[in-house]
Amino acid sequence: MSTESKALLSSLTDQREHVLGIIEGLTDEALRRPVLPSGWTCLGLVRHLAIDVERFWFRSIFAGQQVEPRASDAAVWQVGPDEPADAIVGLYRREIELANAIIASADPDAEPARWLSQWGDWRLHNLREIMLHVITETACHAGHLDAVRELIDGRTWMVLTE
Amino acid sequence: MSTAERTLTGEYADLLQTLGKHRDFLRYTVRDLTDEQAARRTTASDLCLAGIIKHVALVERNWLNFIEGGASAMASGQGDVSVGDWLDGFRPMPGETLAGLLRQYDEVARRTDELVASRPDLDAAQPLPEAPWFEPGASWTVRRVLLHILAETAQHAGHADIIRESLDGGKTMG
Repeated sequence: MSTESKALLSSLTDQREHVLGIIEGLTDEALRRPVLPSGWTCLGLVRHLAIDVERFWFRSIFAGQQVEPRASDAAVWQVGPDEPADAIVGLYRREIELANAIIASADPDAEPARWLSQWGDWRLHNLREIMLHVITETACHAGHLDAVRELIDGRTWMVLTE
Repeated sequence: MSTAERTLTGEYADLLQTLGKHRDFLRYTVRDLTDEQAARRTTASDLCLAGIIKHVALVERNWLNFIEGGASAMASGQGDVSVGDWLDGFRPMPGETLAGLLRQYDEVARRTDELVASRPDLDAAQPLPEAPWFEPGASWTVRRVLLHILAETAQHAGHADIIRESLDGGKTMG
């Protein structure tokens, strides 16, 4: 891997670990509780990161792989009572591994294998721009989870990590 | 538009433009607030929105000092930051307004764009300050510092979203 790829991956890894770290120790009930009026839950957010962020950007768009079809927003965000928390966290970890294999074998300047016509003029031109997009999206969601964790049990992460 | 954005290409432009976009997201989250609202602690957090703007500006400036002068130029590298000073970096002081804090943030952003544009090499690395949250003996390149500022900005923008939602229902997500 180039020094640039290593730096991008190291930054992304920090953010993924932040997401996994801030939800660690939450009870099953807390992971499924909509904390704010907008209604999302920690588990729903982790599945969104697995399917709509890691899988979508690295496997589907950048590598051009055929991936499992995405049924609906609700199927991602709404986690049924019969869906174990471990399975959702496991899905995120698995997609991270698959994404890492793609990142390790590609140049940051390499273009995505496909792009969606509905995005019009908007374009992420290469793996670097896709990684910056995923780093910031993951970081932003890590910030959401920080705030939600503080709401649930008062635990904070950022003050410890600066 | 700064000189940096006009003339830079490739990795430099990608990094600075992405950072600029996420600073804008954070600014958007604190749009149309009074100073009282910006300083108010909501049920969501001990942090207020003005405090987050103040904090991200301080953090970015601190990392610029690292790029220019290494670990010894950073506030946390000197070992003399008291808990009180640290907490004051998260809250507006008497006389500090949201508009004033946003102006300081703009100034830091300009300095970042200029400083990064002037660096011949994003691979130039310097040892990090000694801190429990850094790997002992680790060095960071200019690139890694920029990625850190970027992720930190996006993370605080996410945190700010939740505070804003609990403040007045203003939403940027969901």
